[in-house]
Amino acid sequence: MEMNIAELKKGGFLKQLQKDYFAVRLRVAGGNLTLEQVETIHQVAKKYGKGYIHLTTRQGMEIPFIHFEHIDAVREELRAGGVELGVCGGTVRGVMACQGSYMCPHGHVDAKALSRQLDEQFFAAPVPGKFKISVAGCNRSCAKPQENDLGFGGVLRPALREKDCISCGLCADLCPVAAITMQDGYPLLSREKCIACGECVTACPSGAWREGEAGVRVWAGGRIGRDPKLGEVAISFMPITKIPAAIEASLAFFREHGRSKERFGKVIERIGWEKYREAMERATKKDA
Amino acid sequence: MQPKKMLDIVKDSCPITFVKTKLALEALVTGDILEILLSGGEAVKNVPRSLRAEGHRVVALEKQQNGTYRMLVEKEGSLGKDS
Repeated sequence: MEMNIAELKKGGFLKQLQKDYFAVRLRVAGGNLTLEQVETIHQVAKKYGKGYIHLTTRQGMEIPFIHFEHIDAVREELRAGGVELGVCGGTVRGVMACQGSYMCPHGHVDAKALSRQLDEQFFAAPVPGKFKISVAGCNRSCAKPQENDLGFGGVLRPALREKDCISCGLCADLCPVAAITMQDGYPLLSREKCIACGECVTACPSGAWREGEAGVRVWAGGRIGRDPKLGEVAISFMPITKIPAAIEASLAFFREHGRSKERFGKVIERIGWEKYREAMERATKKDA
Repeated sequence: MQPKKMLDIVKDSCPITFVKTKLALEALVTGDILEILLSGGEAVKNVPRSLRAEGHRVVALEKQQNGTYRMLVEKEGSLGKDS
């Protein structure tokens, strides 16, 4: 039986050391699986695997020890139960996410919903090398946006409703960059110092500090691998609606300048951050 | 505004701080004031916010000389609990 390794790899089959065996990578968006999907994975792994599941470092899942003779059956049975295969090689990988504002008190953006939407739009898109995207609900960075080729983290520009302020000064005490000072009993915000972390909005006991504008910070070029580097801030505040445009611009930049198997951060470093930031600026400043 | 009861959670950590506060408020009736002593850091970051989210009203919050906080909360029953 002939095996097209490259084709198998693109489709989420990873060749194991063990002769004729593959690990099957599954598609997971934002680290969530429905119980129906879990049930399907359980059944398939039980039938064709070796009694266990492997959890990847990026909220993914793999079923190890699938014999090549069962590859078609595994693919079909997974698909019938609502589970798609993951990808390998030069593609956009599954989009990661933390719990975000849907569940987490610190979240400023709905990272889960965003990751599902972005996964739907960009999953498996072909690029020169692997391309990883993560969405975090706030800049506490639980979803590690700085470790991904492109990362987004929720940020919040605060607005004050003075009549609700109880003059407790908690916001001034808690602001991590001392952007808030109490003046005549009310908080005064320095927009220059503010990093839009939203801690004042989260902590305010009376709801006087509220959401002015929610957006995301964009990090690019992050990676682990042999030459680990955290992503750098590409855009410090961007409306959520511009995320797809920012991804499109990054993928286009990658396709234009990237060499085979090169990581995105390396491409940016080679071509220049200035050029990349210009491309991002052009793509995201346009009116929606 | 006379507190009905005083609760000291300075030595407790999250989420015990919130649980104790919740239980203390449950023993009161709507409109009663609970006085709470709590530590700086995580407790003051989380407890006042959580109480507000549960529909209570933080009337006052002041930092003490020793770095702890004194808070007055007005019980508002189940108001706003799920909104």
